[in-house]
Amino acid sequence: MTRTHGSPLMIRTSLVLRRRSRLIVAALVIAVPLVGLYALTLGSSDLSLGETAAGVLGIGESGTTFVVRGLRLPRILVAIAAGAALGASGFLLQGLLRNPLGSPDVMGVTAGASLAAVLAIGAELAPFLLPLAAAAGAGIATATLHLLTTRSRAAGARLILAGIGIHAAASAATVLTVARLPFGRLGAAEVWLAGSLHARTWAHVVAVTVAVAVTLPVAYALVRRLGLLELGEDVAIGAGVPVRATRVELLVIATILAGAAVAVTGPVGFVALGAPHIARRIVGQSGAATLATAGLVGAILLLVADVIGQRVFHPTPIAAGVVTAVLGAPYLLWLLHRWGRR
Amino acid sequence: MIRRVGVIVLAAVVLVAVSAVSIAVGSVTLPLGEVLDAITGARSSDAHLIVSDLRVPRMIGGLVAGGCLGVAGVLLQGATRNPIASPSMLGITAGGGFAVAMGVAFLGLPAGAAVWVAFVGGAGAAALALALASTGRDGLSPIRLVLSGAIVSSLLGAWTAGLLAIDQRTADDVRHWLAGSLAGREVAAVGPLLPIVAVALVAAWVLARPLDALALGDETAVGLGQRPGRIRLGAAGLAVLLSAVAVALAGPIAFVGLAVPHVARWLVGSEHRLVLLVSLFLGPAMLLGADVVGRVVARPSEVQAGVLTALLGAPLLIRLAVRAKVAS
Amino acid sequence: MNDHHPQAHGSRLQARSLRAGYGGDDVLHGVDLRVPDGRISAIVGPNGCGKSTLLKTLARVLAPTQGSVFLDGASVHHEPTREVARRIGLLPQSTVTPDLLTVADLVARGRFPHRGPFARWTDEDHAAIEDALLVTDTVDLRDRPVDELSGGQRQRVWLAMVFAQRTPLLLLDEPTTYLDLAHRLEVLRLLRQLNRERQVTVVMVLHDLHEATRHADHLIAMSDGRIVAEGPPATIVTPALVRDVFGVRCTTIACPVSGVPLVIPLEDDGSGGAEPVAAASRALSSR
Repeated sequence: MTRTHGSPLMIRTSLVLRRRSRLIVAALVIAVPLVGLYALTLGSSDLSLGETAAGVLGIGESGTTFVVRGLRLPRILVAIAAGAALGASGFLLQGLLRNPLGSPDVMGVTAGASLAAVLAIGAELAPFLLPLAAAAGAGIATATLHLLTTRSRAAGARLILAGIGIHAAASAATVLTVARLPFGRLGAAEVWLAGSLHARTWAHVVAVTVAVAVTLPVAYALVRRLGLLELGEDVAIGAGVPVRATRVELLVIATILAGAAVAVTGPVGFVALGAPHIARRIVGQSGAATLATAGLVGAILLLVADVIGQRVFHPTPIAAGVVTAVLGAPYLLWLLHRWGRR
Repeated sequence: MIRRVGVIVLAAVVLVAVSAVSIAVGSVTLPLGEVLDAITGARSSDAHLIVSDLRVPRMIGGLVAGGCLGVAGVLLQGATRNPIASPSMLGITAGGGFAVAMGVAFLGLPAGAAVWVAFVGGAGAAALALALASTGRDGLSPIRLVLSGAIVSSLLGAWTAGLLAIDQRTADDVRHWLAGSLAGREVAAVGPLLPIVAVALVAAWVLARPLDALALGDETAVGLGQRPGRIRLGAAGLAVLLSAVAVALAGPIAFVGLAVPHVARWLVGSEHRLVLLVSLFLGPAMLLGADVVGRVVARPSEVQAGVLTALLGAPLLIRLAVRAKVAS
Repeated sequence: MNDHHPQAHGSRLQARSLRAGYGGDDVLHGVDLRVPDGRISAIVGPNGCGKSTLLKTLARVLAPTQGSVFLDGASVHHEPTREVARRIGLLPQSTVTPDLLTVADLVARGRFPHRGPFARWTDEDHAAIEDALLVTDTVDLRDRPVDELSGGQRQRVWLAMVFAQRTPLLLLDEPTTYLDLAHRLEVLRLLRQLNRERQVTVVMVLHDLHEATRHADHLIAMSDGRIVAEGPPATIVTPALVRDVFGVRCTTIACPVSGVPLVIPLEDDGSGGAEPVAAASRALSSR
C-alpha cells in the first residue's frame, strides 16, 4: 500500500481543535465577563461602566458598592454559573439519550424540582430551604427515572419516554399543588415557577458554583466515554466502555448540574436544550471542547436573557425564565425544522 | 364476535352507571330521593338546584369531553402508529391553556367560557407539533413526534407560567381552570359544539377501515388502495378538533386520550371500528369516574379530575415506555 | 487459495457449553467453539439460528446464561472490559452516527481502550489512526461528516474505527449486508489483507453462504442454536450440510475461479426450476 495521501501531521491537526474553533472558544471566554460587566450596569437604576467597575472593586461610593456587590454581582454570577451548568447538563443528556432534543426540561428533572419547590412553599418552609428542596426534587425525579429504566435494555428512546412520563406526572402534581395553595403563598409559587434571577444572594452563588466546580471535572472525564456511547450500545461495549456504570454516572452528573441551576433560579427553559446545539455548530462534535463550549454558550445565553429582561420594559425587570421562554421558542422551532431537514 | 358486542354493551352500561353516580354523588351529600326528584324536573330546593344546575351540566360536560378525548386518542395512535401518542402529548392541552390565559389576560374573558379561544390554541399547538415532527427525512417518527409534542407543551407551559407570574389578576381566574376540571362549566358552552362533535365522530367512523389498513404500514396500505398521507391528515385533523373541544370544555385533561385506546384494544382487539366505539364509552367513564373520585375524596372541596387522570395516567405511560416496543 | 497461512493451531478465543439469549429465552443451546488464531472464520446459518447471538456473546456484549467464553484463558465476561477491548475489536450491526461527526473524529474514538480519561494523544494513537485510514482508503474523507457518506464509504469508515483499535482479534456482525457487490468484495478483501499481513484473527457473521465459502479459512455452520459443522469450506460444504442447516436441496460444483464448492439450490422436484416456466411459455405460444 503506497502512502500517497495523508501524513501524520495532517491527521494530527484534524484531531486537535481546529484553529478557527479555538479562536471562537477564546472569544467566548472573553465575552462572558464583558457581557457580565455590561449586565452589571443595568438594574432599577443604571450605572455607568466606571461606577460599576468601582463598585466591583470596592472603591468609590459605598452606596454604589452595596448595590453592585450585594445585589447585582450575585445576580450576574448566578447567571453565569447556572447558565454554564444548564449548557453542560444539556450536552451530557443529549449524548446519553442519543437524541438532540433531550434536555433536563423534558426529562422531568426540572419538573421534579418545581414540584418540590412548590410543596416547600406550601409547607411554609424557610425561604433558604427552597433551593435544597428543589435540588432534592430533581434528584428524586432522576432516581425514579433510573429505577424505572434500569432493568430494560433502556435505549435512548425508552429513557426519553419514561422521562416524559415523569415530567407529566410531576407537572400535574405541581399544578394541583399550586391550585390548592393558600392565597398568600400563591404569588411566591408563581414567581418561582417563572424562573428568575431576581434577588439572588451570595449564598446562591456559592451553592451553584460549588456544584459546578465539583461536577465539571467528572463530566470532563466522562466525555470520552460519552463519545463512544453516542455511537451505539454495542459499539461502546466493544470499545471497552463500562456502559451501565457510565450511563448512571452521566445521569447523575447531568442531574446535579441541572438541579443546581434550577435550585437557584427556578425553571429556566431552553438554555439546556439550545446551548449544546450552538456549541456543536461552532466546534463540532468533539467531546471535551464541545462540553466546554456548551457551558460557555449557556452562560452567555442566560446573561443575555438577564440583560434583555432588564432592558425591555425598563425599569420593570422581566424574569429571565420568561425571556428564555419567549426567545427560546422560535429558536427551538427553527432548530427542529433544521434537524428535520437533514 | 359475540364477546366483542358484549364488551361494547358492557362499556355502555358502565358509562351509564358512572354517569348516574356522578349525579348522585358529590362533595355535598344529597339524599337519593332528592336527586331523583331533581332529575324529573323538581327545582324547589337547594338540593334540586345542585343537581340540575351543577351536577347535570357537569356530567354532560364530562360525557362530551371524555368521548372526544377517547376518540381523539384512538385517531392519533392510529394515524401515527405510535402507542404513546395522545392529545396531551401533542401540546393540545398546553396550547389550550395558553390561549385561555391569553384570552383572560387580554380579552377579559371569564375562564369558563373561553371555549373558542381554547379551541384555537389547542389546534394551533397540535398543528405545530405535528408539522414539526413531519419535516425531514424520517417523517413522522414516533420518538420525534413525542419529543416535539413535549417541547411544544413545555414551551407553551413556560409562556403560560410567565404570563401568570406577571399578571396576578389573570392568574387568579385561570389557575383553577388550568388544573383541568369539570366544575364551573356552562352548559350553554356545550351546545354550539355538539354538531361539530357529531360530525367529527361520524368522520372518525368513516376513517376506521382506512386506519386499519394504515396500521399495516404505508406501503401495504397503498397496496390496499388507501392513501396514507390523506388518512393521516384526516385522522390527525379530526383528533385535533375533538381534543380542542375537550380542552375548551374541561380544560387540560391529560392521559384519557392515552389510556383509553389501550384499554379498548385490550378488550376488543385492534379493529378500529370496535376500538372507536368502546373508547367513546370508556373515555367519559374514565373522566367522570375521576371527577367523582375527586369530589368524594377531598370533601367538602374537590380534587380536579385532570389532576387525577394525570397522576393515574403517567405511570401507565412510563410502563408503556419501559415495556412496549416503541420504534426509535 | 485459502491456506496461505503457516500453522496456527492456537485458539485464544474459546466458547464452552455456551447458552445465551434475550430476555429469558435461550437462542444458543450449548455451543463449544475454538476460534482458530490467525484465520478468517465465518459463521453461517439460517435466520434465527443464533449467529449474531454467538458473536455478541463472544464479544461479551451479551452475558451467557450458562457456560463461558474464554480469552487467553480468562473469562471474557469477568475481565475488565477495557482490557478485553484491547484484544477484541467488534463491529456490530447496529451503529449510530451522530450529526456533525467527522470521519477523523470517529476513527479516533477507536483508540479509547488505549487511552486513560485525561491522556493526551500519543504518537501511537496518531499512527494507528493514520494507518486505519490508509488501509481502508478513507484518508481523503477524513474531514467529511460521516452521515454525508454513501453506504459503502460509511462501512469503510466504521471498519477504520475498529481497525484503529489495533486488536489481534476482530469480530464483525454482518459486515457486508446492505452493501452492493463491489463494496462487499472490497470489505472482504480488506479483511483478508489484515489477516494475511498482520495475522489478525477474523470472525464474521455472513449472510451469504457463497461469500463465506469463498473468503473464509474456517466455516462454522449453525442451526437452531447449535454448531452443526465446522471446518475448511472446501471440505464441509456439501449438499448434506446445506440440507441440514438451511433445509434446502442443492447440488454443488467446484467454483471455476476459486475451486471451493459452489452451492446451486434445487426445486423440490430436483430440477433447477426454470424448465416449468419454459414449458408453460412454449405451451402458450403454441395455442
